[in-house]
Amino acid sequence: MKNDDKLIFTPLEREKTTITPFNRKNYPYTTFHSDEEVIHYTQEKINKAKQKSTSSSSTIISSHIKPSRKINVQAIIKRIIATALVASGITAGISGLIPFMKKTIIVNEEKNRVETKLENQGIDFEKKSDIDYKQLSIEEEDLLGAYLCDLDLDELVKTLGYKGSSDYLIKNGMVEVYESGVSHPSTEVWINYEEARLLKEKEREEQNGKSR
Amino acid sequence: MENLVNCIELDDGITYAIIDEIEVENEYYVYLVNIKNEEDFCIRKKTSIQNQEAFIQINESEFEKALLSLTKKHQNMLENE
Repeated sequence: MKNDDKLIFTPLEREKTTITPFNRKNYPYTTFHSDEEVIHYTQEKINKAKQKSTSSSSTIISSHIKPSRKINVQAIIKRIIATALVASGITAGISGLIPFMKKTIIVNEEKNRVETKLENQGIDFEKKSDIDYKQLSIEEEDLLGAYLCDLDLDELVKTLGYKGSSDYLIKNGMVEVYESGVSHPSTEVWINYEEARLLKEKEREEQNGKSR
Repeated sequence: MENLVNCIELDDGITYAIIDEIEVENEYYVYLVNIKNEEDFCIRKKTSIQNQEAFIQINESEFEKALLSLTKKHQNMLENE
């Protein structure tokens, strides 16, 4: 990142940045899978959905409706349409589509890996409030996946010997605490975060024909 | 942001959340996603059988049409990517 780029960000912006395990340094969102692998992955998902939608001959009546539940509908729809577009090869004009799918794939893989690991330990995700975190056996590398499974980050890091999520973020160099007691994302994380944001902003401007 | 949605159990024994419903050429398509695996989804057509709401299978061309309709309806979601 160029020095003059750094100057446009104020300390206030840095204070407002929230750091979670998502902000892992150098998290390899764009290196795990090639573009071809991503396209193949999306085509498999769409084919599976097509098969499911067209192969059943039975009729489901409304009496099969079960109690409602809370889910992030927007995020799910966004993933489905991104999958459909990439599978169809329609990626022109949406510059972040392939990186978005790469991130989606990694996030799903990570979530599924940790979910399976915890289910094998007898964890029932339908009864999250009953989970005894002291009984969990997780490693630091499982934190992101466990977080994606909607488990309590504070309780999770305690099982790893930390005092809480702040302690975890500080000890892993993700936040810096000053004498005044105020904490900010660490310089390294901040630069990484802002660099990604700048690149994204630049891509968007170029896309809109406003490149500087 | 989480929303409260209805769920339904299909003939594969899996519970799906109903995430959207779109009318296309006088047909009502419902979009279902497995509550335990958000990548697992399918589309059914909503109809009425003996005064009861029913969810029936669709053909390949309807699948393409319904998926395109979902994409068109929500394409603005991707503009911020």
